[in-house]
Amino acid sequence: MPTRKTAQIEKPTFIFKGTVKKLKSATMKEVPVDKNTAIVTVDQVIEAPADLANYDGQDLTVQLSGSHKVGETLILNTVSWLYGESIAVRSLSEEPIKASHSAVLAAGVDPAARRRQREQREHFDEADLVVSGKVISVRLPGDEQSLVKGAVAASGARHKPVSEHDPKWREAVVEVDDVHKGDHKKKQVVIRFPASNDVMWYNAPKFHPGQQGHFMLTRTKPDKPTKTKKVGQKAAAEVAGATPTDTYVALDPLDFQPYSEPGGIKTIIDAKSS
Amino acid sequence: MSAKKAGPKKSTKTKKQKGSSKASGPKVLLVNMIPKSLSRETNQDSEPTIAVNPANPLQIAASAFTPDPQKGPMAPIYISNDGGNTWTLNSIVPGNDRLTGTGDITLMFSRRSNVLYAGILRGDSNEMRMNILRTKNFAGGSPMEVLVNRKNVDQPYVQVTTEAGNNGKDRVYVGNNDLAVASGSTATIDQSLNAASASPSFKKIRIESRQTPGQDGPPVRPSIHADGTAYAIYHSWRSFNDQSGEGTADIVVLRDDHGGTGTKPFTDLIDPSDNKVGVRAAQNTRFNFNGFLGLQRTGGDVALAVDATNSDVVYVAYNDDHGADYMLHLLRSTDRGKTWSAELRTIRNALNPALAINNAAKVAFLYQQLTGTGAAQRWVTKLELSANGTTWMTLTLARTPADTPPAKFDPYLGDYAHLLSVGKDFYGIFSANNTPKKENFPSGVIYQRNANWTTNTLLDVDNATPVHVSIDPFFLKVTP
Repeated sequence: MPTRKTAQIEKPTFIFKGTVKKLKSATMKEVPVDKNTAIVTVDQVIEAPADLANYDGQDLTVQLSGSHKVGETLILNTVSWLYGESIAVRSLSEEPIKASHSAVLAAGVDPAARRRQREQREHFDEADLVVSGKVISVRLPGDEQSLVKGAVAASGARHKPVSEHDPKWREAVVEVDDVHKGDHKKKQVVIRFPASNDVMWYNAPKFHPGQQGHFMLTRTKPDKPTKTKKVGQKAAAEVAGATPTDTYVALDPLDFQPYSEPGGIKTIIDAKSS
Repeated sequence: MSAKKAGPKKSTKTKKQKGSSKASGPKVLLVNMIPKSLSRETNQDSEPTIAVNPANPLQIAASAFTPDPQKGPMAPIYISNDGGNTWTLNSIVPGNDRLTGTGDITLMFSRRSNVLYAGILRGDSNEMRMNILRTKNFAGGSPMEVLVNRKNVDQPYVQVTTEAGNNGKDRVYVGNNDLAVASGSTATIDQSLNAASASPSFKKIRIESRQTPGQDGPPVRPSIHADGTAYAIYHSWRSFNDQSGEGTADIVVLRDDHGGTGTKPFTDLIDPSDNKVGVRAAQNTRFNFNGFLGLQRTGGDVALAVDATNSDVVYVAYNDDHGADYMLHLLRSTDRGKTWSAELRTIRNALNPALAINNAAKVAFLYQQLTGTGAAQRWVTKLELSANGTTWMTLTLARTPADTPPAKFDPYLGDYAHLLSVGKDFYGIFSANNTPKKENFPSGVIYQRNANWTTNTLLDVDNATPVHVSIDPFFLKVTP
């Protein structure tokens, strides 16, 4: 069960350089103020999701993890709290500015791009198989084809319940050009993906023949589901019950990057091979 | 420029009534709920629900498919401590998907204990994993507590009542479509008769009494009167075609005169024509699980409200798919669901019905109707009010472009909107295109997020950079 008690495993999701402006105070009336509540001016957003990347120069509320003085300038590693007239965040840690921070504080780096790069790196590290190649066909999985189709009266005989969240599984057959991570000897790899545009599935890559690029894949294990939650990726094991052995899934938008798109997986692969 | 208020001039100068419409007639407060600090967001914040604390109506919680702004592990709910005038996001719902937030979600407060309950499908699960949640402090920072956790469940819809007396227990009812049931009787209510206890137990009540084509439809909606009478309505499937997505369904109403506390819960209504549990308020309605009305998918909606002043009186709304037209129907029973009226209202091409009846027996009927064609096509969100079910007064809340923004995912507006009453007031929520244009909100509206009402442009947190139009949740309060 998720809990915030395990602060040691929480990762910062909004990192910025800020200056403590006022202690025991907040920019929002909804915030319960104590000795570690502070108004902080954002000097520079370092890493952030796109919606929060434009906060340079603004004041927000930080629940500090330790004691600090007005005027101190810090790197603040924070997570979500409240969003209203202003923003309140909880700081997991604060660091004094050091020479070693010069790289992250260098001007010109988009905080949202930095966040995306980190997500891609983590995604690459967690993938079971990373290949480059070309989608040569897309088909219905065998177990979907074998389902009884057609009109069904009130007989209780339907084989598979339907819901608006039906993934509408498809399989992309990919001709492999290169294997960048993992062990895969075959010339082809089969990737299961949801064709559904339902809220539960729309983010997953939708493959079609002719697509070329890099694929970051998670192996499904039908008989032994993995419960590990991937960062930024839904647990692949949860679809394992409907997948054949040694099938991979692509469920996250980061799972595919076309050759035409610079950076991202390509940068990671280049760095590993150099 | 950030013009926050649009529409008719307010009737008084008190801050609380900003955005209210018209000095005579119902007082309307409509608020775009996206906070100013998230002015940059372009999420498709669809499928909203709302809960008002009956013990303190200034406390309101709401939800939509809104992701955590930092893509963290908890999805947000919207919270208000001033009766809905201002809104804040508080990320306390377990299972955030970093791009869409939680899955299906509904919320409801206890009548007296301030506990907020939720039924959700976790956003971080691919197996339709239902959680029933609660929190004693909806504005606090602690994650909601998980009471129930099981998979293959759809559209959990939570309702709460509290027993009479100072030590009255919270009774929680979560309607859901439990697709793990092999018998095909999937319409289910998870019920706890003491949900505020340290470790509450929930019982699964299978409410389908007729043979189905393997399952029922997604919506199962309980509605509980303060006197303990419990009703439920569901989409009881009679046939279904896997390939076309077309099917037929009965609209079945159940009742339990003792709140589901007996050995055979929800069996107090028997249909006289087949002697089975549950009266069929309508039979053989048609639906298309692959159908669309504009950019919004269809599939068969149902709604039910019981009169706060008299539990004998019940209204229901449901959809019937006629192919070219998606018809919304409204019926009433005055004998505790035994018999049903002729059509009180029939609305063409409308969906997301929501009903509520206040403490003056006034009925409110919320829906979203697709009108016009081509570029002139609009989603029109209306609230109809009636004191007798015969004469209706219509408030147009929103009239927004139907083809912009493009759909990111289904559902575009949501598979449901929501309405409830506390005292004489109606509180509701719906999702719509957020273009800051006065004509789009004929009853007035207040925006928290930055917008320029002269150029009809949304603006970023810097109050200068334009932001694309998206789907936002809108809070509604109507005082008749």
